[in-house]
Amino acid sequence: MAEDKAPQGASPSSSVQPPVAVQVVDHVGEIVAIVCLTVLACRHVLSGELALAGILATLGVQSGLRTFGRRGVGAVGAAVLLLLPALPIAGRALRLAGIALLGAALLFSPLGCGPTPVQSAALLLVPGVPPAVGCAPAGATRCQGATPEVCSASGRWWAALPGPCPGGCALEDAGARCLAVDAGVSP
Amino acid sequence: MSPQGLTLDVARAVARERAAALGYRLVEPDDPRRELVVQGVALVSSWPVAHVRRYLSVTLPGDGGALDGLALIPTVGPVLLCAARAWGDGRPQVFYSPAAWEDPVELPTTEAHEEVHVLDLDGASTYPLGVARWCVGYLGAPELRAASEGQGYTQSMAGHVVLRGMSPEAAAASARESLLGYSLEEPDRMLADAMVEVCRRTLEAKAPVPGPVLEVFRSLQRKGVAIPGWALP
Repeated sequence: MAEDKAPQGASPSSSVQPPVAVQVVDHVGEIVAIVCLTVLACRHVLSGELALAGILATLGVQSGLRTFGRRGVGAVGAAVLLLLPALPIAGRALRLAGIALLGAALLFSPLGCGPTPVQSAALLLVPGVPPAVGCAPAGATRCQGATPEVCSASGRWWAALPGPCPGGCALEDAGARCLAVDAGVSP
Repeated sequence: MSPQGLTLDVARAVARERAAALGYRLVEPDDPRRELVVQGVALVSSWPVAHVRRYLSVTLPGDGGALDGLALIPTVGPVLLCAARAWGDGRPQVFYSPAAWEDPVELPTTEAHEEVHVLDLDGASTYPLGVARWCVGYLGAPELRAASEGQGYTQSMAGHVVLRGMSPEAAAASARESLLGYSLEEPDRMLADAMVEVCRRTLEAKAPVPGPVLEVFRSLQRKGVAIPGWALP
């Protein structure tokens, strides 16, 4: 980037803009495409990775190629285009809305999405999250010392209770549970 | 039904003691900042605003000292730091709901639940940017939300069974219903529900449920509240 010799007048923000009508169609088209891709991902028609790639391509290619197409786009430029929409064009309200929608769809499950790559990545960021060890099935329980644990869909053993059982842990047919401290009290 | 000696004054005294002991800030329902929290929670959850306003207690992270660096910025730094500190003093904050604050049984029950989150944040704060990373994970990864809330509701269940005399099955049903509000998809809800089941079996066996709820029970007991023997090892 430091080697960019492009004249100032050729920067994206000051390049000749297409007519307003074209821009509006551009933005509406992008939002519709993002919504469609998000819905497809939510319904598991598309994988999260494909949806993400599609959304980035939608954001990057339409306006991006129109802006830079005349100057040629190399391999590096194409990659930059995928990320560009979040930078110089972010000031536009419609684009922001699209990005916000994308972020919300990818990050938050209230919109009805299952786990996505972003959600998985978010989990990896968190300190103290147990490692994925491939346990199965989700909802299975076990005793790890005095701590009952539950298997998650991502194959992690989570402590079922916030601490070890004072009286120890027992694994029965129905699953793990804490034992009474005084065995005489336990039914 | 509530245990002998469990009055609102006792419950509030214990809540304040626990907040001081664990280093979190107890925010009472009449604090004007609660409305901001209510609106924020209503925005990202499936509960109606009126329900959130009345029933939802919320733990928010402190900055864990991360904002101290603001003071190094010339001129505006101290002003920014002052503004940030007007919201909180860097410690986790527990915003109690009116429903919890006005009920001598619900208050210690809620307290135990929220302390699970306080402990989560305390644990995360020992890592670089740990609190921020934990918050991103809580919002962005439903599995973490399920695990954290699942553990939290085990504490609520213990409180309801021991202090209110609810049956373990009824407490489990209540917990499962509450968990519906956390926007969890099927596999993650299964994780939280399995935690609830572990707790239900534990309570059915009249075994103590580990976690902050044990300390809350002990604090109540020291104030003269009669807690059933099996609940306290």
